[in-house]
Amino acid sequence: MIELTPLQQDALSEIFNIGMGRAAHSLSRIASDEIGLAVPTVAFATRQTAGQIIAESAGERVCSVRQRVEGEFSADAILIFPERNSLEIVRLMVGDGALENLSEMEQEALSEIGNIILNACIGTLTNILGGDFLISLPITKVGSCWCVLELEKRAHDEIVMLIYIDFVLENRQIYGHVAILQDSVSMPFFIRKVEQFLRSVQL
Amino acid sequence: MRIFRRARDTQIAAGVLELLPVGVIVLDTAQRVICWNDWITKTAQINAKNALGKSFLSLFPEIQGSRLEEAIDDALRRGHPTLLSYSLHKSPLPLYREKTGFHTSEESARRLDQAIQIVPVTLPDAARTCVIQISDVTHIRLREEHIRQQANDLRELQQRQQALLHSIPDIAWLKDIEGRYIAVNARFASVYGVPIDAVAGKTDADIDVPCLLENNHASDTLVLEGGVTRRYDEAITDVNGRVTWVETLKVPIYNDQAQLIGLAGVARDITDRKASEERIHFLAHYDSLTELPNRFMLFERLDHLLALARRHDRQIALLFIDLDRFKIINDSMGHNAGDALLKQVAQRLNECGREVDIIARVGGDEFVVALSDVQKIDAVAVIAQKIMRAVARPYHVNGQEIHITPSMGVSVFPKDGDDIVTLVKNADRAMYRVKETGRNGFEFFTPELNARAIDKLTLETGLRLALLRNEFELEYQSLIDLSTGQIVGAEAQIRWHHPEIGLIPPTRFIAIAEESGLIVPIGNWVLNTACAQNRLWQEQGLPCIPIAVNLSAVQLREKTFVSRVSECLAATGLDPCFLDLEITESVIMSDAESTIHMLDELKQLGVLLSVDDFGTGYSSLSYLKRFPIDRLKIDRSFVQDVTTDPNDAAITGAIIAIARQLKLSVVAEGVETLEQVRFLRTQNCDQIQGFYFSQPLSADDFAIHLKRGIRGQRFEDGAFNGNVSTTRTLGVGDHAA
Repeated sequence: MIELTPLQQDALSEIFNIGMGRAAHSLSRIASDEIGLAVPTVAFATRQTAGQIIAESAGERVCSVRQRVEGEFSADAILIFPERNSLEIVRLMVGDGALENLSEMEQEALSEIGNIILNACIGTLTNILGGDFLISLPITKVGSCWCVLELEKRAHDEIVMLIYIDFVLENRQIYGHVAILQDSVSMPFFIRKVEQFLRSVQL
Repeated sequence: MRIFRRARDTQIAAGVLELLPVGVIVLDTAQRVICWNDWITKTAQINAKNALGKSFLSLFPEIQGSRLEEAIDDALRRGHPTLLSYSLHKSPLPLYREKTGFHTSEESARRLDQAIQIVPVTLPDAARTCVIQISDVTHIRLREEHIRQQANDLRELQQRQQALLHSIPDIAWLKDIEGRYIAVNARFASVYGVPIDAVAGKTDADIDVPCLLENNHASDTLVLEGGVTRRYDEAITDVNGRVTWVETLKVPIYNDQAQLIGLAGVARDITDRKASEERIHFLAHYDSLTELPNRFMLFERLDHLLALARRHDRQIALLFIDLDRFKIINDSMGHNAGDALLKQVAQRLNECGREVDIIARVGGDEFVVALSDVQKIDAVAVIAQKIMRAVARPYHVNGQEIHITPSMGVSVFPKDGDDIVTLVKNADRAMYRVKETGRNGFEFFTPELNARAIDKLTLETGLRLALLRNEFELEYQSLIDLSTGQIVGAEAQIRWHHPEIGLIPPTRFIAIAEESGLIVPIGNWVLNTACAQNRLWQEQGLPCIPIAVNLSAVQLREKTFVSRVSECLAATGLDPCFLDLEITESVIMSDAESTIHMLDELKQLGVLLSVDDFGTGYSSLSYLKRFPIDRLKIDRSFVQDVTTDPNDAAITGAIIAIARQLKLSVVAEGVETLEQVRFLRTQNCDQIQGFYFSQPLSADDFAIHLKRGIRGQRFEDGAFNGNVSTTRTLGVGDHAA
């Protein structure tokens, strides 16, 4: 785990929360119901550790929505829910009867929900880093935590930014993780950018 | 797009765009339309010419403030791509299906089901545009609705099946071909104490109900491997350990391809049916009053005992028990009391010990006891005595003490018979022998008894012919007035002259005649003959005296008896006051109430009525008072010993005194000695009958006897000093009525 100073951490959470406010607004409109979205913590970890953390809270089977970010800084932003929760979110938003598995259209609906949250995260991140980015449309995938995080393919010691999302819908609390898997940005570069951003915001 | 050579790029790209089965709209930074493909032209019904260069919002004003507008803004300003799913937005844009091909023409229904993607594209000159791609997802929606419908249908079907299953009051279940439960009903769950949901997918071994595992294994194999239907009764143990009987039905289940895929089972509670079956069995084999085996069961068990006895060379004793005078108790105290008594008797018999193998009730007051493995006949006598004592102890019924004695006959296998019927018959004969000789005892069967039985059969056959062959004859025994010595009456007595056996006394054949019902025609013959004879004598100028005729209980039971007497009197022309009807005390008292009625009717005819054998039965003095009777005849057994037995003397004296009080005349029967005559005279007995004066005489002899009396031969007091004389003649005066 890469330690941020308490100030850095608080500042990051606050910045992501601003983005989440817009996302929550969009979701609430869709659902015609108040939806709360908050970012309690932002943390950095190796891909290995991140996998363990997510698996611990989400369980083996997860549902993921992924968007690719390309530019000066390339990364995959992945929203991860326990499979059971993903079903629940879609049902609550769509308001329809239950099948055993997500149907094609329900998967698409989940993609849209993920899209809203991921856009908020990515927007916040690109704000911090600055520059132009190409962002892909979301893709939904159901599978094991390992498979979703592509732990086999990539170096395990790559640094992952973990954003912990707290999702409140119809008095139900559902937790999800957003993992930002970075391709080519070194940690010191990122920290520097964060510092710069914080200073600019504080000023 | 760099794969195209610049010169033709635009043309080709435009051509491709027109062919796409999706809508493509491209907006510039200011949200003006810069691309509008054919699909959009058709569905939006707006020509590209009219759309190009126009602001998107002006073309579709209704999207203002929608998420689509937001998403376009997001794409152009922030470079964020957005997905608008059908599930969450349905139809954001006013795009329509072609009118043909869909059955509804309503605008809202024709609006396309849309999924929209908004993707920012940055042009080489850094100008940002956005591509809006719209897909028609109708086919996906329809497919999903279909799947959802199927799922709902399936769920409903399952729910209906569940409801059906639960509505069955019997235990019901379904199993797959591997013997795993597919479904069980609520009854199953409650009986075996397993939750319904916990059973699905499990085998009998998995759900750990021992009774299911034991009961199902063999029959399930037959159904699931052999495809046979099984129906059988079985005992099951429920979760509380209670055992119930069920009728189980297991039916194989086949799929459309006729493959065996499982079984359906129901188990119906048949505890009630079992109980009634047991009840029926009980009623068929046991007497419901005493709960002892009945005749049927006795024979069944004797069969078994006899087989054992034959194999092991053993003896078996059969005791036939009949309660003496049970009918009197039944008649006087009611059937309930009789039943209560029988139950107590059964209980006493049951208490008689281990030696007794079978106790059965074979008739109203008849019981049979069987003793197997009899070593010595003496041992049977010991047990018989034990039973006698047990049964003879006083009973308490309805607060009254009742004394009853048994008569018991014993037959022994193999000595007295080799089969059940013979053994029971012979024990019965021995029992009847006890009855004949005074009751309250037991007797072993003997060959002589058998001879008697054969004799009885011969007599019965002979009796049927006797009337036809005119083998009967009446004899008359005179009745003497003790104070005057005159003949004041006579008793007609029947004689049977059997062509081979010779003279047969009434004591030997009356009982047989009563049993067979022949007593009725015989009794009529006696009545007619006696009346006709008396009338003949009167016409011949002989003294008019009443002739007594004995009546049997069987005759009195005939409803036409009174009219028969009246017809007889009319036919013979005899004055009713010369007919004296004798009825024994026991017959009169056995059914006193109905007898009173009949006696009243007879009395109205004007005949005389006498009570015969008085003193031997049980008389109620209150009844005696109400009976319209004229005379008591003291039984010969008392008269016989009046001079030697002070008890008999006292009884005789008492009877005479009672008769005086009731204003009845008294006749002493069986008078044989002068001493008896003297005693009776001191007691003021009215009349006597017996050998001392005259034995029964044939009609002709009696006529002479009677005529001689008329001739004036007087009764001489001194004659009492002489010996018994059958020819002693007596003074005759007017008849005594």
